[in-house]
Amino acid sequence: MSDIIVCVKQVPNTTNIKLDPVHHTLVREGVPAVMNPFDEVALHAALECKSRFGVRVGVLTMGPPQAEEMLLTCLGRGADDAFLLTDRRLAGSDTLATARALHAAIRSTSYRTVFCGQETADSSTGHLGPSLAEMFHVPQATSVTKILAMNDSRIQVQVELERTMQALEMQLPVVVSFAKENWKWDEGVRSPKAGRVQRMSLEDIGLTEDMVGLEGSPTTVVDIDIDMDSLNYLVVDSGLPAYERIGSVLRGGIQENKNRVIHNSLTEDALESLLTLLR
Amino acid sequence: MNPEVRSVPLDVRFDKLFSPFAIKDVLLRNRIVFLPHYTAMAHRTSLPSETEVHYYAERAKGGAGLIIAGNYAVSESGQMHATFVNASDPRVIPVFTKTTRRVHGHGARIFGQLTHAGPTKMEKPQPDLWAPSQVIEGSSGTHTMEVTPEEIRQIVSSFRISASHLRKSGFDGIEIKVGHDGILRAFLSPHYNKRTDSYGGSLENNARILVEVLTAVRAALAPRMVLGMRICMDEFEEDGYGLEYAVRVTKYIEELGLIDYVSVDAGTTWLSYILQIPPMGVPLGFAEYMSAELKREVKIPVIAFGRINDPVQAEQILQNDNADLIGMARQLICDPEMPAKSMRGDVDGIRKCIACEDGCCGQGVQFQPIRCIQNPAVGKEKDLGIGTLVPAREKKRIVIVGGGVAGMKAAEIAGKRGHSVLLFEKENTLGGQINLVKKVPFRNEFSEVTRFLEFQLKGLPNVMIRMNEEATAQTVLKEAPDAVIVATGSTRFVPAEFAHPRVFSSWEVLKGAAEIGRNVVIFDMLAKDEGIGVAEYVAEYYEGARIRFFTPASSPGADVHFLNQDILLRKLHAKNFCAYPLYELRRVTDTSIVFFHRYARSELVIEDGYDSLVIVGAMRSNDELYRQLTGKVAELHRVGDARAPRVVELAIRGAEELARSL
Repeated sequence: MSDIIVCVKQVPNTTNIKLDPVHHTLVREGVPAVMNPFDEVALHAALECKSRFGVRVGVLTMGPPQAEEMLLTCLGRGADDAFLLTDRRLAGSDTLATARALHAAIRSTSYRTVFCGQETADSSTGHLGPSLAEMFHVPQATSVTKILAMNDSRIQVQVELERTMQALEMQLPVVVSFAKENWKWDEGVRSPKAGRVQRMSLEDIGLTEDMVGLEGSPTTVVDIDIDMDSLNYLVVDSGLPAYERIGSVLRGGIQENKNRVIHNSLTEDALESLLTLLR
Repeated sequence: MNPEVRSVPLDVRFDKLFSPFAIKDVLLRNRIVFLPHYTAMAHRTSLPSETEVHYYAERAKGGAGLIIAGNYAVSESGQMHATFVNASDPRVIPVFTKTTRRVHGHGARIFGQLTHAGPTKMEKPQPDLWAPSQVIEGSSGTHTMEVTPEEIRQIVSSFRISASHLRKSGFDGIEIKVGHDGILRAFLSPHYNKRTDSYGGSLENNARILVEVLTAVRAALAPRMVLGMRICMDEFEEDGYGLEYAVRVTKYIEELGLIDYVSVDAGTTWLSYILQIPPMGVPLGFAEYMSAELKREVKIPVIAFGRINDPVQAEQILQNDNADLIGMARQLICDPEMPAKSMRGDVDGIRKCIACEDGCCGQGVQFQPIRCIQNPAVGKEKDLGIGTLVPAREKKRIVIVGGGVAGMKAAEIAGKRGHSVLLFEKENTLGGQINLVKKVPFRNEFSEVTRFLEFQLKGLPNVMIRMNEEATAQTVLKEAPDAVIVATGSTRFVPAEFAHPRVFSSWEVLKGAAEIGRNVVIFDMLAKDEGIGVAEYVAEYYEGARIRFFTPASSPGADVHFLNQDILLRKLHAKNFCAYPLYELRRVTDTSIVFFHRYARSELVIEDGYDSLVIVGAMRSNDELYRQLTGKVAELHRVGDARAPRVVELAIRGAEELARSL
């Protein structure tokens, strides 16, 4: 039986996202943090596998020391092991460097099958699961909503696409990325004997400074702005002529706003590294 | 009087809406703001009237947190009309003082809005239109007067003087209008401001007069008083400014530390009038994005506006962090008790403003004190306002025939006064003609008029309703009533000379009882709401219909309030619609319809095939029952269209006045 490690992350709990205009990053100061909702689904699925198939479940996060609180919650919910990869030199890691660090961290444990949220509420790249699968050279599934069955060698997962649903069977170990679902933890349930959080540093996972952090990250965010779709009000495109602007108001506004675009560009370096990785 | 208090049936509590909020040192008990507007209640001498004292006090009594009174002109040149208060006259102080004391007595705070009308005047011919530059003012076609630096100094000084009068009258704050009309917005507007001196060109120059006004007014205020600004966020004119510019101006003014809050506003008095006082055709809460965008850019509190008439909607805007305060004008005109009712959970008991424009704007354009089609107490708060409905001394048995708005309103008021009421309705739904009106897209919210009344009647155990029963003289007399109110309405018909299988009355069309096809000719004798209303109905529900619209009037909907007419013409001309004004209908044959031009004295014959002719023509009161009962009952009254076919407002007003007298 393949034990499961769940990658989790703390994200800012707010709908009113603020951006740092100089560094093109999210302002996290003073914003309460919660577990990324996609990761909650992954953890829930892993704990179900624990009760149904008797596997062991670990949780892993890369983040600041205060992320320990989230890991303790995971242990309370029934996780067996918790790993906190925390090191100042990891700050500024892009998705490639993050995947590299998590890959190394998982390798230093006995876990091989990985569950993770398909994306994070604060960056939504969706890179992590596929990157880990490539690094481990194992099969992977994305947009998973449910684990159907599991035995010593194989796993069946349910995948929800836009209009269809698929059941996939894969050879273990695997990397599974979960789509978000609407459900809530029963907060009353707490494991009585929760374990300890094990801390890891860069040395513990056998990586060097140049492979992570800003230095190990080929991605440069050239610009960042708020996605209008995420706003809770309709917007009237201020670029339209007045008569059409009034028409737009009368129709209840439109979502598209020509003046605002998300710049999600990659530098050539980053593209090259990604291509090498995916070779 | 419907004392029943219900819990809110929705999973919504108005936590934010009814949480206190401080603008600087002025603490508001909740987030509901009565927005400033023209009431036309001032005396012709431009002094405030007692009517206005009661009008504002009523809104405070009903639970609003903040009243922003006005808009008050700062000088004679700054008045849009003589019925606007001129606050630079010290004689305003005694009445203003009464207003502020009454409002404070009811637990609300009160600010006063000051403005200089600039290029916007309501009189004809237009007097001097003070403006940054000489241009043509669009709505009147009149050339403006370019103000000199000396006149700018006069404007600034008149703001300061007026502000000192408001301070002496006990106002908690002052709002400077940079809104849909007035000279301060004109200076920001590329349409009006072509100056090359220090008052035009850059943002700093365009805003210079505003900065001078705010600085002068601040100096005239007591330290604890609030100073705010209401700004037009988008002129929606081809040569006007847009949202980004308004946000930049507001940030600039905020950074100078001149204002404590900002209130949003949109449109002008020209082509975008419909966004200034948005009619029913403009979606509820359409301007939320304006306050939301502004709120993300400034630190001072932001007041939202724009067809907000519901506590759930208001709470949502606050929860979404898209504003700090909720501005309403017409909702609190229509139901001053909306805040109190929301707070005690009586959400269904709120009489919602439907933005018909018929009562408030309809009177305003005639320089008459504003009214409300649903609330006859507007402008008569002392006699008809909160707490004036008293139990009848003698409890009577009253039979009302007809459950349209007039019959329902009479039943509501008579029932609340303790009379025993029996209401007959021959159809299986209450509401009468409203059931047709609400099918017209631009009038669809009229259903609220009967929803509110029906809900009131449900809460009155002494009001019995007999549905599906057409009352006759015998059935009425059998009830041995002390008083009978005939509210039997009216009928629209096709004049006999035009009767033809392919000719229908507008009512048959709205009832869905006519096979009108896709090639429709409409003849509107009256040029009121129903004519262009039925055109909109056909355009909306008969996909691809071709509509040829004939009317003897000079334009389609010539007698419809111009805000509604504007929105209708926008919509209709986006469809396959063609208007033929100044035509009379002559005759209808099997193969043709013959129209006659009133002035050209020539015929226009439609013989290229048509599916139907819809006539919006004469009506007739259903008054047979009234005639049959005359002399047979002690008290006999007729209300609504049974007297004469007229508008909803008069049906409601007449019914209320009658039922209060019984």
